[in-house]
Amino acid sequence: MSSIFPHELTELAGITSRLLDAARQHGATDASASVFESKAQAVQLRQGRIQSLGREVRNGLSLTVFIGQRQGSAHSSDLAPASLAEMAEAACAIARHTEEDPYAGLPEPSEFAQHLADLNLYHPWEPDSETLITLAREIEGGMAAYPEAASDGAWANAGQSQFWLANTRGFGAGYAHSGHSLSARVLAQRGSSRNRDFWFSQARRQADLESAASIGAEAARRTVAALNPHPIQGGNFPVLFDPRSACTLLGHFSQAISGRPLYMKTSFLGERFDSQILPAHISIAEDPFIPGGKASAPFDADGISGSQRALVDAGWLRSPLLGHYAARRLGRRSTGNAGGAYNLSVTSTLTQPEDNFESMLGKLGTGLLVTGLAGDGFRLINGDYSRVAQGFWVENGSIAHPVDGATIAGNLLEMWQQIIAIGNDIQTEGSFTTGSILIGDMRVAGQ
Amino acid sequence: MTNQISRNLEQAQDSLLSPTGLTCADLAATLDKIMSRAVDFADVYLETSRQESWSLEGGIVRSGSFSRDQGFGLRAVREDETAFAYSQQITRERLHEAVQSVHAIARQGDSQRAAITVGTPTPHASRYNGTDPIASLETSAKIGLLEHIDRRARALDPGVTEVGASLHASHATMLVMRHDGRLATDIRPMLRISVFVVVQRGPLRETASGGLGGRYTFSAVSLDSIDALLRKVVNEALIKLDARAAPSGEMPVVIGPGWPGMLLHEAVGHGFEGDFNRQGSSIYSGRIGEQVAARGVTIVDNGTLPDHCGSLNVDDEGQPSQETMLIEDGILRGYMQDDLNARLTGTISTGNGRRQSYAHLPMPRMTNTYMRAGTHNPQEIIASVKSGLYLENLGAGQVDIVSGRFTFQSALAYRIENGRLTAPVKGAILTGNGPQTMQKVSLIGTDLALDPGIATCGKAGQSVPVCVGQPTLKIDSLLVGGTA
Repeated sequence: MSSIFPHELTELAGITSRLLDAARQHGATDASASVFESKAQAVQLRQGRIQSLGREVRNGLSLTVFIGQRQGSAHSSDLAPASLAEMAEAACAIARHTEEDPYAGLPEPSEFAQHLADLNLYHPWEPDSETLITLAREIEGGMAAYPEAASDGAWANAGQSQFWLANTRGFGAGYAHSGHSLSARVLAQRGSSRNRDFWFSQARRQADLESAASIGAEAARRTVAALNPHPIQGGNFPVLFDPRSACTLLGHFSQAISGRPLYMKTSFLGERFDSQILPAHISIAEDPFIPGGKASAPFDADGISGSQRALVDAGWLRSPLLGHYAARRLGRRSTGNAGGAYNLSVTSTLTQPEDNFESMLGKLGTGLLVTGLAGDGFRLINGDYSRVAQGFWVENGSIAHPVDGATIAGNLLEMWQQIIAIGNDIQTEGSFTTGSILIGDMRVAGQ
Repeated sequence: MTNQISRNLEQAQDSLLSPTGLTCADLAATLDKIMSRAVDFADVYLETSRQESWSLEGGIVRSGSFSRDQGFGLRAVREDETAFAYSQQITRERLHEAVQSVHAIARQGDSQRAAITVGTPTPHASRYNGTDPIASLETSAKIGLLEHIDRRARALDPGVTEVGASLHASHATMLVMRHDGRLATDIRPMLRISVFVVVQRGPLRETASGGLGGRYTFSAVSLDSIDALLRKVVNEALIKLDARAAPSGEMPVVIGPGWPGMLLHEAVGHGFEGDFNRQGSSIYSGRIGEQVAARGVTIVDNGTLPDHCGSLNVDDEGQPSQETMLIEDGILRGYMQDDLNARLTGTISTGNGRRQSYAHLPMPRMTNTYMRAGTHNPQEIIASVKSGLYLENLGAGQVDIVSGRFTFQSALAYRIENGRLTAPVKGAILTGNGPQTMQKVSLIGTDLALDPGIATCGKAGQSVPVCVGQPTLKIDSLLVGGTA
């Protein structure tokens, strides 16, 4: 198959192998090299005007060398032979100055991914500018049903990349993948109340994107619905995180079970493995191999494959997310997570098919529905949580009025123990899949 | 042309154009091809940069990295519409392809135009020395500096269980040519040192971090300044071990000097960027001349401060940097403009056109943004609060420029009870509405300080180094999101 990229995948493999050779020539005892190429087309429209229209081709090279237990690395965007030699020289010069690290080094050959399944990640789409502009116009057209809404931007992007990873212990593999997206950002005004919100759709295959008009309409609906917020009284209330907000809770979880915070002892979950951190009805699973999955991959940045497993099983924390280096420092085996989490999903045995969003509002009863979060208010060291929420005040299962700028606070360990229900209104955002999450009791403060 | 400017031009041509046999005349010819269509504005921006970093953790300097990047970005603008192309290869072929690509936006026409001639470089003052910080210290001394940080931090308190430290040095050379032949170059150094500590007492663990930096070389960094940084960071982590739950609700808040000026960056600064104001999306749009803050509040953006992280000799469109009055004694005086937004609103660029790299489009961005000193003694300001919060250090912040809502995280805070600082409290989110909060600034200290060189600003996916600052401030009411 002829490639749409400037290079064939086999040529990228050739570049990494020349880079590894150069590293050996400069004294490396081991090395790992990777190269990527990406192509993208993007248009941003705002109220019918082209804010930016561009195409790009970019590439990058990375090299990590080991001289015994010392390591160094180099990065460049220049694929020319002279650049490869310069990188090898620079990385080896650095390695000669770093200190011996007993945990440094490549994995054993037996650890590398063996069977590389086709995960259906590559569906190239190279539309011309007119096609993208038309899609962006359709996104803006979708906003028109809401007279109080105005476009603050409509984006249509098509992107594809390919990469190759190789090391001196015999691993060498690469693949192409694609990612396309349509996004909308909306401004809305009613009297003195102003709001802005966004919505988007992202997929590996163009045909899997939600319709452009529906994205504009959803962004407008969300933005207008939040106009004229009312203040709320502070106190302790149940809080329902809609799926998009609930994904942020999964984000905090995955950060807290990742290698570096664990070996640096900066994670509040560091000593909680094989103990119960969530109610028994909840499990969190990781699956690297979902065909076409947004966070699917056959192997990680070390060339090690991930696995389908429970990170949390019936409330018990069972497995961390480790790359090779962190695993060595912790005296454990790599879980193939040197590139971070793959597809994570949270489920509850209590969830019923009829637990849609409306049913979850009923379970919330009277309390706060969170649809957006702001502020960097999660502390990895102790799990303390304090963020600013946008959403709605709900009374007896019905939305009463929008709320803006309420603060919600607690500690994640306590908040997780308080999860009463997870909805069947499942959404995926990047690596994370969840329904809405209902927490029984949180500290809420308002103006 | 001063010697410095002509040396910079020579160096920029040597590193950006000569390697592939190009000259400034080729850039003029490239822009000429774009302007042969009905285009209002075009520029080509070339950049080459080198970065080196070293990091220590677990008591050893375990990794280091070197990277190099170069490329050009070509932009064509017609009215308010922009086409953009970039390449990582600065060659005649790639320039030609980029021209074809940005033609997408242009109509045919205008053959009567005079050809573009290469201008002389824009005159500007020199705000920093262009010396390469990477080469300014032997590698073994860089390693030694990190090891010193590790030993020193651990020696400050037996509770220090882990130290992370890193050095980041970069050296970038840029050249930008505009469709009218205006030419500018800049050589930009940057050095940043960051530290992170973990302390433990019994089952309790805490962390704190800090850093310093500037557009300078290692010669500007003294062991005394490193020592002061480490004391501050270790001390903050130890104090947090004793922190109680933060209060919740609206209360008076006193915010300390320096880095907490990030509050102004979020609550005011972004809302004063020209793009948001041209589009009418900022809460400050169309309000020049109005009172938007309490009397006594004067806020400027100033790209001319020597060696500061946000300083620029010229911005990424070739405009010399300047001091721009944003709010003067509470009155909105002006916005920060890049070329595009200035042209479309009939104003002039304020030297705030910045881009993360050749691969990004420029837009109005802050440089060094701070509130000028007031007249009150900082101790008197704290003493004026019966019950409230004192914020000594902040974490990250953000703003929604449409509603004006800003949020930031406290990193080190104390209760104020009867005019005195009492117990330290845990990190909590603070939030308010920018214009409303600025009306509630009731006391301004004499102690203006700028952040030590750690600030980075993100906007529309682009990061640029900036600097923030303020004197001690009293805000009569702000919402605090604690658990108590």
